[in-house]
Amino acid sequence: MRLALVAVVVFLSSTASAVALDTKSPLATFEAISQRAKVAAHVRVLYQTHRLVAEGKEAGRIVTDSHCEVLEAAFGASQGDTLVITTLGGYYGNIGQKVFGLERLVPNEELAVFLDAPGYMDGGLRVTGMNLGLYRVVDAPSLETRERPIIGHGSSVFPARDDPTPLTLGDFLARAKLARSGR
Amino acid sequence: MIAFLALAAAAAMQPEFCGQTPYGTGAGQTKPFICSRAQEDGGPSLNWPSKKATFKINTKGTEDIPSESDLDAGVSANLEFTTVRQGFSTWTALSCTDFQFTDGGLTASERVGFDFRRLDENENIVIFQNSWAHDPLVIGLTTATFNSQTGEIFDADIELNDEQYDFTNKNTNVQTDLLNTVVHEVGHFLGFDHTDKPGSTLPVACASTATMSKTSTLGETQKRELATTDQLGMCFVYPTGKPIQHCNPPSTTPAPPPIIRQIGSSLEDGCAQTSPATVWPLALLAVVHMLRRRRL
Repeated sequence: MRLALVAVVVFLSSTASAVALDTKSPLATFEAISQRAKVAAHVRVLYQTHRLVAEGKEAGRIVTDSHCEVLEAAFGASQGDTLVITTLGGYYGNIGQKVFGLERLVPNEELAVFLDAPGYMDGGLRVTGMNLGLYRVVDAPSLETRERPIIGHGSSVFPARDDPTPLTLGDFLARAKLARSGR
Repeated sequence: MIAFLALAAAAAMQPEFCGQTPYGTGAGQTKPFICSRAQEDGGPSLNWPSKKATFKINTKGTEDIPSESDLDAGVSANLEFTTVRQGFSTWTALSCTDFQFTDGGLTASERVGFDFRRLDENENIVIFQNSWAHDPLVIGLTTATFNSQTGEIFDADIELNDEQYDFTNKNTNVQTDLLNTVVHEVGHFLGFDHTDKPGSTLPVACASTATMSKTSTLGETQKRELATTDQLGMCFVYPTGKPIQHCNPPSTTPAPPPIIRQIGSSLEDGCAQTSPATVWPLALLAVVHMLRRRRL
């Protein structure tokens, strides 16, 4: 995610002057990503497969398809749906490929995600905003599902910059739905 | 001399403790830099098998940075190429390392990743992508292909987002500083990971001011010069006159053979079924290894 990313990610929400310097750049607020995404959902990764793209312009890339079950969706999907999230990097036998900065998904983990339309690298859905659209749901058995906190990759500045209190899964779904309705 | 002074100045930008224990390089201590790992759950650290690598720059370049014409000499210089080369040499200017980058010149190749079917066509490229296939928030991406058992890198490519960002190479009206971006990506090219990645134990004051810090703001130029943290990483892994050091050495126990299957135009790995294609990756690795040896 590979800066990965590495990847270098600009959090343009950081200062107003930064936005003024480069008018081509997108805003990276929670609401902006909500409005750009096609799907916002709470999912569980069921299993993963790795592909080596063998033909075309992207030949030579190894990608990972994470097959996920939708546990609850703010928009763009329904509970019980199966989604495929395609991310750059993975393994082809003993050959690994890494895109620096990109977060890897892990089987059995729960995520709160923003996703773009399918077809990324001839595969499934792309995480919106790369790491910014990806939150890990903290395993907290004592809490109700929607009260469980979520941790974003850029959590020190996003969404903490908008709201310094920890974001819960319920917050994520509600805010995403609200932002979507206000498009 | 200019590079040395610049690096010394950069080192002073970080707190002194960034280069001291408990972030020293002794056995059992946390290192003051972050090496990438070859496997999901750890594995050996990533590094080039020898202290040399060749890079090429895609001929397209970027229109963000105007060419400099010398009318008297009748030549035109693409200044972005000069800046990219400077980004590589920033890492090799340290006296503590004898890693050498070879400037392979320009290439028409746009291949990112490693094409196993056309082994001789693979190059380590830097390319300005004016049609960005990834998320628009990302300025640059480095993709490394490696042996997951040994951590040896055999290909690395750098993509720069020329669609969403205006690259500049001046000290005034700086927007997305090209050198700032390239020096960071070359750190990945060498196998280093983000100092502020999740789980990093580096103090925030060290991690966030390093060239290998994962984020950048518009107008930033701090990453043009290596911080203490970055320098220590380079000096540790690729030390002058000594063998390459692994942050995490490869295991002596070989992993079980992988299972591969082919679906359509993609080759798929990871599903529980056997296939004659199982031997592909191992055979390819052997060929890749032989080719690399022949070039060195």
